Amino acid sequence: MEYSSVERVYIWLDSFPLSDGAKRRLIEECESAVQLVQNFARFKPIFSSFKEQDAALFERMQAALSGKEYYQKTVADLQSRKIVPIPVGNPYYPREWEELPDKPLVLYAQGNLDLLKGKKFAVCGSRRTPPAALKLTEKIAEELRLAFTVITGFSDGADVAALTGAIKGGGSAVCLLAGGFSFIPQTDTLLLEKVKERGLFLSPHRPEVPCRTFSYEYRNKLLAALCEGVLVTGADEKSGALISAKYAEKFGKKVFAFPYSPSAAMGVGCNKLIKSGGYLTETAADIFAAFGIKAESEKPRETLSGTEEQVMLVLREGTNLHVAELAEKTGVPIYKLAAILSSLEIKGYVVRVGGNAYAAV
Amino acid sequence: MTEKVFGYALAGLEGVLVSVETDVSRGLPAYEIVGLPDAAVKESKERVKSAIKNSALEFPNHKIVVNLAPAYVKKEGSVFDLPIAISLLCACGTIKNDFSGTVFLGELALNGELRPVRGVLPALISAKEKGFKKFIIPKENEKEASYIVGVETYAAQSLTQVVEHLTGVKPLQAVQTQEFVPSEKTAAHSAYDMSLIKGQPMAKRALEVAVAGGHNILFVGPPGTGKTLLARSIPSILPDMTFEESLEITKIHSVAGTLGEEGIVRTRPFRTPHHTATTVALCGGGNKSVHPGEISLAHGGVLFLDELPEYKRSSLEALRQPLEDGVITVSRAGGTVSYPADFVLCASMNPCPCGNYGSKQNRCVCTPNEIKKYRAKISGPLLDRIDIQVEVDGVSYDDLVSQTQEERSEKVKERADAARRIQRERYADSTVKTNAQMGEREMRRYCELSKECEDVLREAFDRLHLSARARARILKVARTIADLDYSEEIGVEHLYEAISYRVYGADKDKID
Repeated sequence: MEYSSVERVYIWLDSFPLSDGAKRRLIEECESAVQLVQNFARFKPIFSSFKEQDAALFERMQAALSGKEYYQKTVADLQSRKIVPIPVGNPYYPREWEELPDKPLVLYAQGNLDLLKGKKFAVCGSRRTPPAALKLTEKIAEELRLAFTVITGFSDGADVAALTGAIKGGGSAVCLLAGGFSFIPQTDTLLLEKVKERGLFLSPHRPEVPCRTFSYEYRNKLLAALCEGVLVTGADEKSGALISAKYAEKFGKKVFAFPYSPSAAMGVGCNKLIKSGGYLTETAADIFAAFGIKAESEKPRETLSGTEEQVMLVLREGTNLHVAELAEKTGVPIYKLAAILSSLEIKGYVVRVGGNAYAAV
Repeated sequence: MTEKVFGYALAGLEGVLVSVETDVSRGLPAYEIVGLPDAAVKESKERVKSAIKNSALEFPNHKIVVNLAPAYVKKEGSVFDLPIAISLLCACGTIKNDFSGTVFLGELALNGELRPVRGVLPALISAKEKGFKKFIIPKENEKEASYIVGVETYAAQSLTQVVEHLTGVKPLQAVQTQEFVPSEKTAAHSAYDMSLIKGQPMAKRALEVAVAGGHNILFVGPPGTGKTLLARSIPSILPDMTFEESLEITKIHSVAGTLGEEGIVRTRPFRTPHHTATTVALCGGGNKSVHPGEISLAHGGVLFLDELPEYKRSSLEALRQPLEDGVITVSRAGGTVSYPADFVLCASMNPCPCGNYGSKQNRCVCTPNEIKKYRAKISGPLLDRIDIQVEVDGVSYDDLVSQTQEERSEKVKERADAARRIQRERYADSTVKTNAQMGEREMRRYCELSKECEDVLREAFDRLHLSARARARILKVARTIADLDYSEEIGVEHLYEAISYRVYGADKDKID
């Protein structure tokens, strides 16, 4: 990629461990970014007003300005890791972030940059989202591909389920990390490889920055700004997913949530969102409808045998059912049930919730 | 004058005949034992001397050399006391040596009493195979020896009794052979009958399948849900022991010294080594003589490893080979010793770090990643050899199921036995005995799948992200389920049930 001189200044600036506030201040103080580097010594007094760690960087930054080695090395390092820096002003830089006062100076990307264009739909949810909801998330993510690019984080639970569904059968997805590229969570290495292959990883920080407690809220805000709408799959009272929803609402995006039965722990957040105007979501069609998109997917449902239908009927009555309860209600002997449930699991109609209990998806 | 008397040295369950030669010659009084004796054998010098003196017999005051031949085999234990004493007495003329072909075994107390030794049964069987038919053994080992037919065994309480028998002064009565009667504690009366376990239908069915096909089984469930009880019920549904099996198991326990008063093992062993057990304690070995480990003591029965992740990784690794071969071979400087180790492996573990995944009473607070890491503690190769994984319910059955009468073990055993009969026929000409032992060749021959079944298997692999290793396991278990269903063909429903015997973790690579 070719960079303008301003972009190169941003890349240079962002490569130092300066705090975000300091970086912004520097940019505000100069009339043009190019001026910043041409006459760097002029900004020394500003540095003295910074906090200690920032102030100490002045010498280092000035030294880096003599000659092109530093800049070239920085870019070369990133290139060797296949990371592309996208500074503010670059054609690939998300337009949706321009209005944010604390937008990242440089967006670091690894993968298929074209995915930055086009409509995106965000999925988030608690790591403890129940198995049935996760399976549903996977299904919905797969279908959303028809009109959106799915974008999510890389956390356990909802994020992983959404990514799995989105990249199934050759699809792609975008993953916005909370920290730098050196800190990608190793939750699921297989999935990681697949997303690297076909999707896009984004990070609002340079690679060496770890995830700190406030990194998540920042990421959730950026996520909310990037998408057209966000689906919350499961959230208890204090879930981080609710933060994404809060920002989404603030930015005027649509908020979607799964409904839960009254006493479910993961439903507290979701039901609250629905109560305050979020869309009650059960299928991908619900999401498409909210955007006025005609969905044609509807994969043909596999035909089930009579006994399988019977079991599904009973399972749909409640939430989780234990095999013994199922046996009583359907009259099918337990060991035959094991075979039937196995078949339904493979076909994607039920999911295990542990302790020999099952739930309909 | 040299006199030869026979003793027996055991290495594992087999042994060599030891020829005890005593030479009494003129010279300064001395008393030496040669022939690679270990510490216990060296000490027998004193025991033999005191025993002879205290039996009012003459102890020669000359130069005495005792040789235990063959000289290159290590002699271990106190079992040579008696043959050494007899050899000595022959050498000084107290007894006339006209009892060739008799093997003597026994430890001597200082007062001349004959003490029991370990390994009498395997020693006698091994000697009998080599053509020896006459034995003199300690009285307390009489019971175990009574199960060998075709030999003449005399059991004595003291050195005096032996001498009197040999000189014809007071001959001993030969040991009466006993009929082997399988224990009255059969399925009908086990203290751990399956009917005493309430509910747990999936686990019970999984047990039935496991026992029917000789498969190893893993229980996953919250603590306090009866995993141990389920494991303890396994012996009550295993097939009845034959005499040959009982004999083999008794041999091992005889060597280990864990034979009860009965002198024979009548019920299938149930061993539960604690997870702090060392690899040697588990597999066998030892510095001097090679002792059978827990896996050999569990031969013919069940080895139960409770809280599998707590066991040392290295110990679990050491289990892989015996699980594969059914035998454990321990190498020592002097050679290798093998012990049989063919057992049902039953293991249990919690579903997750907090223990509550799948429990209805308590909420699990673990994230999918934590659960995955916890389950990854069990190595892939060990898990490979556990064909059946099943969840144990974390639910209270009092308010769940109506007051149905739980099935008794003997009913379950009947079905398992029927399936085993089918396997006996099927594998009559093969080295394989149960479905679990099938190799590639047997699977190709007996587990042919219809096209419908192949499709199901392929779909399962795709959708459930099963690994290639899982295919063999599923096929073997499906074969057993089909056998239980009296079906020659493996049907789709058999396959589906086999596929369900895995504990679905959050990760596809480790547990499948």
